[in-house]
Amino acid sequence: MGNGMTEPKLAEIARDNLYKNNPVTVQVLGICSTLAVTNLFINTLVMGLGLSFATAFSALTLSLMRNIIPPRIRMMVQVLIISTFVILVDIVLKAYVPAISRALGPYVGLIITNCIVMGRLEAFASSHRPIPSFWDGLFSGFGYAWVLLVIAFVRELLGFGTVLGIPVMDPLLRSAGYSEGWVQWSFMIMAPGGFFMLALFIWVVRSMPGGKAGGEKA
Amino acid sequence: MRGPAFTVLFMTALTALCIAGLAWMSRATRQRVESNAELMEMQSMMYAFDRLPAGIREESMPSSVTTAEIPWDPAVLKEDFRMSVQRIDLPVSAAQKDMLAGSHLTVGDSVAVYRCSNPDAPESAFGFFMKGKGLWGTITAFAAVSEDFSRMIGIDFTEQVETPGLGARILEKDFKYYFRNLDISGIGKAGTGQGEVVMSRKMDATNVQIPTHTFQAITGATQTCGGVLKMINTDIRFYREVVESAARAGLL
Repeated sequence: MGNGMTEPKLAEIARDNLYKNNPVTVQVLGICSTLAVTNLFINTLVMGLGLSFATAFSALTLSLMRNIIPPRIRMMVQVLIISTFVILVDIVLKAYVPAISRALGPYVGLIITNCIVMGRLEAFASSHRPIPSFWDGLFSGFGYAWVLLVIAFVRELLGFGTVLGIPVMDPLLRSAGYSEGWVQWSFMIMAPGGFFMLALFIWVVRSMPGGKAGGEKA
Repeated sequence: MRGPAFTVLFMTALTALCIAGLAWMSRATRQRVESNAELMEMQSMMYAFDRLPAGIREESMPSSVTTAEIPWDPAVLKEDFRMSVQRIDLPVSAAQKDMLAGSHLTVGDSVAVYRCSNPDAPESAFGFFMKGKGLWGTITAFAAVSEDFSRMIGIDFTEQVETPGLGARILEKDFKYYFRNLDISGIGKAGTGQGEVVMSRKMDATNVQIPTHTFQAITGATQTCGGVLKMINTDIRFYREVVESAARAGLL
């Protein structure tokens, strides 16, 4: 690398991004899409995979060019690279899973503005080698995705009574003797439900041992 | 230290490379994307005409199923569509265009209407595209109505950008099923005692069971449902006038 910095181990990068320095629960990045797409599990899954792909390959590409990018235009270059990979994801979704592409609508394109992607490129990929950068980008995406999936699971379960579109709460309650079945929590489907779920989740994660960034005690 | 010339050249080269890559990818998938769009449009139209795949009963489908999730056989769908649906371009007069004031539908001197004939039934049905305003953008729908414009056979939404889980639930079977057999005979007939289509928070029976001029709205999606309601009452009135006018002129 030329600047004396030691490359972190891949296992350490993965662990940091998934838990210790999670982009959503610790860095509090990418909150807008966390609220917007987490009312349905399948939408969240596709969004998480799309962001992981875009972040990983953007980080790899930037890292490969890091020594030749003029410093004064580095942000423009980062945005250009991120946009390219996000549009690629959008094109692939439209071509191969059009129903999901239609359901996600504008949210795929909004990955370009997700601070996690730009944040990891600026903080890691611009100063590390390609393989660790790719790995960091991939696991930043996975760290974002698993948090959103947990939130989406709860929101869909309480908001619709389903998991992946399969009715769960209604048959459960009816078999337990509640003739009215499941009454949907509309609050969980709307944006405030996302706010509350996210806040609760961050609180739970940060209350756990080692849950805060920098080794700070809970 | 690299000067401004290198900066400009670098940015230009990188931009050109990215655009070239995306253009290639777009070109490589264009046929597939267009084919998908054409297939999805056919699915929507056949759904609206209540021409589901053999063996599929809408009543037994899960409530959240969308048209795209129904197991259509592409080859059978295309053949069925080709054999039963005919596009007819009907002339539109200036007075008829004025009827679309307040609608998001824009038409030229002619408008496309689709006729679906069913070998098992004496009557055919008419279908047409409608546009309305949802919460976040335009909603485009395809509606199928009986030949005499007295009832709606079905509806499907081909374009929308509403909130997933709320307004976007107009795509689900649960919402669209209330439009089957919807009484539309009162649209544009103020003062006759017949009502225009309205929406309700909760209905005890579907229109298939007890025909009414009401559909059930989605909780939390008032503006989306309001947009759908306005679209139906405005655009169906327009299309009825266009079709009746064409019939009088011997064009149908």
